[in-house]
Order: sequence, then structure tokens, then C-alpha cells
Amino acid sequence: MAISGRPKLGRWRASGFPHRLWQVRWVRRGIQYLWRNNLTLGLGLSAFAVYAFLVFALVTIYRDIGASDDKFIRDALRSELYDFLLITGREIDGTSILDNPRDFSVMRREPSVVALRKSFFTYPLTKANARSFRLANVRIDLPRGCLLEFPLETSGEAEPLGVQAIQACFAIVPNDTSGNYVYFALRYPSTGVVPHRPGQPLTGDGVELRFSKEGYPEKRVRIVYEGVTGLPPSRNLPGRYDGVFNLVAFPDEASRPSTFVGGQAIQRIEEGDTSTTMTVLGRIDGSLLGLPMGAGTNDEFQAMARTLKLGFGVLRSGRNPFVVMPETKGVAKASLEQAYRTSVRENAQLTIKLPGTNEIWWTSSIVTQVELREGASSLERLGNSLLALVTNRGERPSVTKDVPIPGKENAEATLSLRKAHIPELASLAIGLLIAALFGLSLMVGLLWRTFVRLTQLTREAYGITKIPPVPKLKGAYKSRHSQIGTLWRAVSVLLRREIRRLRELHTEAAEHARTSQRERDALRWIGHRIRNPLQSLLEQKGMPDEASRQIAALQRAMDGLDRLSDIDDSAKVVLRHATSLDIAKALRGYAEAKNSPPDNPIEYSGQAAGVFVLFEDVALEEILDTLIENAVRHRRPWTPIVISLEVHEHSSQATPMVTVRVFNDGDPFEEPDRAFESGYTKGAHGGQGLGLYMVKAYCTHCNGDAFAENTKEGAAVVLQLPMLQINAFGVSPTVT
Amino acid sequence: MARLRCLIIDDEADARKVFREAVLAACRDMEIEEAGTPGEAEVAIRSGKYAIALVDCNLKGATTGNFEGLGFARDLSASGCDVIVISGMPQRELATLADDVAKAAFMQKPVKHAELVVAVTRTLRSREERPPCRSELPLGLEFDPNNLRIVLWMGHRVAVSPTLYNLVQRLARNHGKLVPHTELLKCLTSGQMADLHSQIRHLKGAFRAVDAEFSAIESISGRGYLWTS
Repeated sequence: MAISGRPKLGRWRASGFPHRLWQVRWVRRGIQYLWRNNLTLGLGLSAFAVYAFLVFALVTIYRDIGASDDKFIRDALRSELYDFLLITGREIDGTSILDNPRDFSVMRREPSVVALRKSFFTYPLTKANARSFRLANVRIDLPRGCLLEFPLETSGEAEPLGVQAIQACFAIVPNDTSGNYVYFALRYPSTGVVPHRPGQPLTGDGVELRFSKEGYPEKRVRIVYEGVTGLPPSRNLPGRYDGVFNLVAFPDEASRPSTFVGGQAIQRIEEGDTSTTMTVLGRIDGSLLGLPMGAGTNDEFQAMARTLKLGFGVLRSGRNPFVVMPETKGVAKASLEQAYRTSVRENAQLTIKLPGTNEIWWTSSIVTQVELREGASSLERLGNSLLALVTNRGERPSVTKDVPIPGKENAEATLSLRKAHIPELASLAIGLLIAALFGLSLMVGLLWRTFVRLTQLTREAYGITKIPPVPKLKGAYKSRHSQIGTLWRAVSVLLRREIRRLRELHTEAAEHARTSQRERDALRWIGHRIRNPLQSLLEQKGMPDEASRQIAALQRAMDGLDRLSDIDDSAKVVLRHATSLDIAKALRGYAEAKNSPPDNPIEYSGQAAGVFVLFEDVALEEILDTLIENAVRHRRPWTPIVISLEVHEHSSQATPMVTVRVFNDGDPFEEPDRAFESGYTKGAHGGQGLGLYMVKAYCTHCNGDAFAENTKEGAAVVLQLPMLQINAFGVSPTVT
Repeated sequence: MARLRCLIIDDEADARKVFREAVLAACRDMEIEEAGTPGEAEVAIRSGKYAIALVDCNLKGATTGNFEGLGFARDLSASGCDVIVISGMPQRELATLADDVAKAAFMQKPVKHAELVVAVTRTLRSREERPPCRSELPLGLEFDPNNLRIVLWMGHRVAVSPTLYNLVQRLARNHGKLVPHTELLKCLTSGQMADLHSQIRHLKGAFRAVDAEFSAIESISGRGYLWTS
């Protein structure tokens, strides 16, 4: 397809609108201002872009992590809700503690009469089952919700020392067709039972129950155990009824047993236990307790029975080893709170509602809640706090399940998080991003400070760029009207100047090298021309002494010339051959080897070993030979030469230095600054004046130094070398 | 028993005379021949086998440049002759050249009579010495059994001058033991301590040229040097 016509931009230009816009003064000024500050503007926009990106990242991370985490949380909540329902509905008789939230809600409660859907009461041994009766076959399953456990501490006097437990259950059954009874069950550790016989005093084994209600005196019922009678004996299994007792009750110290209380007790070793347990099952007719009786009084009977305050105790040979007062709280074997705590997370709330009426059947808000998990980092807490502000009003993850409630419609159990869920990873990421935002804000502040300085810098740079453009300066900004252009141009100009200066230096160095080489060649040529005639002169006989001395001096001068070149070459080799040298050990060894008192005493002071430098051992030997030779020459006779070693680890220098001082008692250096120049000698000892030159050359090539030092007592040559540090990987340069 | 022969090549008669006296002082029975020009030198070299030769490097009338003497030194060295190159040219340049080209020792003019006598005596004595057998040497070091002054370190040939050869031989024979400075100084014609340190440095450099990690030669401060085992 052919495209005709000019581009849109071209048309826009052709319309003359840009030109007209440029004529507007404030527009022109504005554009010029922005252009002048283009670097600042660029940096500011970059910072803003980073800022915007971080905010975008913050939102995205929260949203994405939150979405994936939400599904995970819902699955976990569903699993927890199912666990809760399974735990609460696991009674053997098919009932659930969820049927009666009023009685079975809390985990710890005082003994009271609770309502059960079915009675647990039965006579284990009756005439009907007497022939097939086996004590081991008797199974007594008490409802866990009703059963309270009271741990009781025994003193160890008459009872075994330790903590034992007594379990108790008091219940009524609404709409009980057999009558208005309060059923009870007790289970406690037994040490043996002596059955009561009619006519005996009531001080034997048994239990005592106490019932009280406001405005009425306390009712006490003493129950003793009597052996089973009136059942057919068995020859094959004598004593088959041992362990089974009938309950005989005496209310309020009565002398005659009451017929309002019935039941049996069984003493045996329970399955999974080692000690003997007494289980008492009984029922008390409501009329004995003063409760409403008769037809049509069932509701009143229930209401009053629930208000009864209960207490009980165990009687054993005239003692009361176990007593539970009405205010004593026991732990329920099963409760809704217990089920909630074991199956549901800390920050989730469970609510069971009856549909239609919206009546809350049970809610976990009645139990104490725990706050956010421990161990969250400060960044995570920061993220949590900030997100909580934003998200607490949002939707909280929750799951719902129908629960059958007998006598009601299906209830609706809802498990939801107490607060809007904030994923831990998102919290942490957001905490980090907030920290980054804070850092970025700080950077923007610094940027502003830099901008002020940059403005000054730009002004100075503008001054530099006022010079005429450098020829062949390609790539440099032509503009001098903006920050970038000005700075770029200033850098380019300075760079060109520097390059030109370096080229000049390079040319000078090359010229110097060429001159030096020419001088060397000339010296070599002269040397060669001198040495051959010198050889002949040296061996001529009968030469005057003065001439011989002059020839010898000439020869020394020639040797010195070669030695000078040798030193310069060797100094380079010293650095190449340098290794980690224990200078303390070397100096000490040298002093010991060369020490020959009384003629030539040499002493060493300093560390015995363990001070390392990067140096060549041969060079150190050469240096010491030279310095000792010098010191011997200039010392006062018989005075010792002292080699000392010091380590300056805490000096102001970046690298710790090792200082070696070779001291001799004698005349000071006349010209300490010139002593290390080549050819400098003191006295007519026949030397070439290259010894100290060599010392300095070797040291300086190894990043050290050598200098002369005059003291009151004498003179010393001081060497300074960088120290090497010893670490786990061996020896390394100490650069701080 | 045949007399040992010596060849002196130098274009200056005075120098030849000095060299002749020094050689005779070192070995009275020595049969000495002299050559003053390159032509005479060629004839003399072809005429027979020499035990020792003193060769000047720069000969007048040379046809192959300033270092024609080195060519003669190389030919003589190849025939089993011990050569000492004597020249007025700078030591640090020619010493290496003499070693590389002709495996020759080097002395710089002017040479004192006594120094030359010592140098010739030591050279003749070293001819009689046999290189140590392998079992005497430290691990990794080998000498050519034919005494051609070839040293091998870890299988690589190390370029050593006669002086360095003598030094390494003394150190290696006593490996693991301290060799005092005084003992090592016997290997040097100058007998000066500064030269000993310089030669040891060259020796280390020669070994490091074939093995950058070489560190077998150790200085025992103030006492001597040691070839560590």
C-alpha cells in the first residue's frame, strides 16, 4: 500500500505553530531553563522513575503474593475447621459436645450438673446377666464432655505420694422417661475396699456427695459399698462377683439407707492402666435433693438441677484422701475450647450460627485470643503495621461448613482470620521496599545538595569552555548552554590538555632515554679504549710510584663505572626475586655470625623472629656487608656496632613499616643528604662511593627508603621497608 | 704423559706476554701457543686440542665484527677446551654473551697478574674435578656426567657460566648443609664478597628462568648459603 503525504511532524512544523509557541516569552524562558538544567532534570526524573518503580513493585508484590497466599490460607482454614468438627463429634454414643455448647464450652469449669442427650447410667450386674457376668467384660464409657478431671496431690502419709486424679460426671437427661434423676459417675484410684455390712458404722470405704443451692441448706449423701447379694452363686467360678458392689446411701447422717439413691461400683484394673480403679455409677432421685418432681415439671427440674453446686469426696477407713470443693475447677476431658485450641490457628475465629435466627450457637471469641506470631523481624512488623492500616477493612479469608445440631436446623460453622491476612513474604518484601524508599528519599536529599554544588561547578566549567574550540574535538558537545554540554565540553578540554601534556612528557622521556643510551655507548667505547692500554701499563715494570697510583685510581674508576650499571640492574632484580623474608631472624643471625668481640663487637636489638618484609635475602646480605664495613671504618675503636629493628604498626602511614638501624659510635655524617649519592666518599679508603648508593637503590625499588641519621652518640644508617602481615593464608602485604 | 696445551688469542703483544707469564706461573709445564690475528687463531685452533685458552673478544683485522673472538671461544669450547674470554668491554654485557655463546668464563681488562694466575689455576683444577653423581644431588638437579658444564633442573637446561657452574656444584654437593662464604669465594676469580652475592643472584635468576617458583638456594645471614633439601 502506498503512503502519500508528509509525516505528521513535518506538517506540524510546516503549520508554523512551534515558531509561534517559541515567540511566547514564558514558554521560551521555561524551555531554556529546563535545557540549562538538563543534568539536574535528568537526575531528578531518574530518581522519580526509581521511586515510581519501587511503589509499583510494592503494590505488585503485595497483590501477587497475597493472591497465591490467600488460596493456601483458605485450604489450611478448611482443614482446621474439619479437624475441629471431627474432634467435637467423636463421642461413642454418637452424640457431640457441640450439641450442648452451654455446658461443654470451656475447658476448665466447676463441678455442675450438665444436660446429656442419653444417660450413661446402668447396673453392670443384674439378675438377668448374672450367669454370664465377667468383670473384665464390663465396659463403662462415660461421656467425655461431662467428665471432669481433678488432679489431687496426696501427702504420702496414708496414700502413695504423688499426683492422682479423680474424675466426676453429674448429668441430667431432658425428657427422661425413667424419671427426674441426677445421674453421677465417679472414678478414682482405689487401694482396696472393705465392704460395708448392715448395722456397721459409716466410717468404712465410700464416697460423700454434697449438693447445695442458694437459700437451702447443704445436702450431704454418704454412699457406702456393700457386697452383691441375692444372685446365684457359681461353683466353677467362686468369687465371680468380687469387685462389684451395690451402693447404699445415707443422706444427712441418717441411720437408715435411702432408696432414692441407686447404683453399683466396680473395682478393677482398667485397660491400659496398672493401678486399681474404683468406678461408681449411680443416680439420685430429684426429690431427695428437693428438686421439682412429678408430671410437667421436667423443665423446672432441669433448670434447678443446673443451679446445684456440687462437691464430693472419697472416704477411706475414716479418712478423706480426696475432697473436691464446689469452687474447685476441673479439666473437662472434652470441650469446645479444647477442640478449638488444638485444631485452629491462633489468629482465626470460629463462629457457629443457626441459620434463619442468626443466633450464635458458639463462638471462639469467648476464649482468650493470642496476638501475632512471635519472631517476626522488625522489617516484617513494619510491613505488617503499614499493611494492616490499609487492609484491615478488606475481605478476610474464611471457610464455611454445615454442622448438624439435634433439634435444630443445620448450623453454619465459619472459620475466618481475625484480621485481614498479610502474607509474611509480602510483609518482608514490603518492609524492604519501604526501607529502599527511605534510602531513596535520603538520596534525593543528597542529590539536591549536589545540585547546588553542580550549579557552581557548571559555572566554573563554563569559564573553561569559553576558550576557542579545540581542533579535531570530535564527539564533544558543542553546546555550552546546558549542564551536560558544559561539563562534557570542560572534561573534553581538560582531557585534551592532559593528553597533550602526557605526550610532551613521553617525548621528553624518550629523548632522555636516547641521550642516556648515547652516553652509555660513549662510556663503553671510552672504557674499551682505556682498558687495553691500561692492561699494558699495569704490567710495566719500573714505573714510578705516583704513576702506579694514578693507574690504580684509573682502574678503580673504570670498575666503579661497571659497578654503577650493575647496581642499577641488580636493583630491578631484587624486586623480582623478593620473597617474604623474616628480617628479624636474618638480622639476628647476621649479628651473631659477624660478632667477634673484642675487636669487632656487633649487637642486635629487636624481635628475635616473626617480622616479615618483601625483600631478597641476598640483597639484605649485601646491604649488611656494606653497612657493617662502613660502620667498622667510621666507628671509634672497640665500640660495638648495633643493629636494631623496630616495627611501627600504628604509625600514621597506611602501611606498617619496619625500621632497621645500623648504628656506630663515631663521627656523624657530614652531609647526610648526599651520603647516598653515587661516588660520594668520605676519607681515602679506596672505595668507589657506591655502597650507600646501592643500599638506597635496593630499598627504594622495594617500596622502602634509606637515609642517614646523626645522633649525639654517633651515626646510623636507617632502612625502612613495608611490613608483611601474617594471616591464616600465610604472609600478605598490610595495606589498610 | 703429554703436556697440556694453552692457546692465547689477543691482538696486542703486551697483553699476550702478560697472559703467557700468568699461565706459566699457574702451570710451569704448559705448552703455550699464541695467535695475534684471526687468521693465526684459525690455524692454531685447527692444529690440535687445547686444555685452556685465553681469548680476547675484539681483534684487529676481524672479518666478522667486534665479537669475532667469541666465535673462536665457541669452537675451542666445543672441542672440550676451557676458555676464559678477556676483554675491555663492559663485564655485564660480555660476561653473559661469553657464557651464552661459548660457555666461557669472562675477565675484564685490565687484569692483574695475580688474578689471572688464580683464574687459570682454578680452571685447570676444575678440569680434574668430576661432577657429583646423581645420588649426591638434591632432587630435581642433574649434572652432565661428561663434565660439559650442563646443569638440568627438573629436566630443563639451566644456562650457567663456569663460575655459576662451580657455585652450584659446591652448593649441590653439600645440599642441606651450610656452605660458608669463604668456601664459595674460592669459585670466584675476584674473591670478593660483593661479587659472590652478585653471582648468587645470577644463579638464582638462571634457575628461575626455567622454574619461576625456584627457592632452593637460601641465604644464611652472615654465614653462607644453603641448598635446601
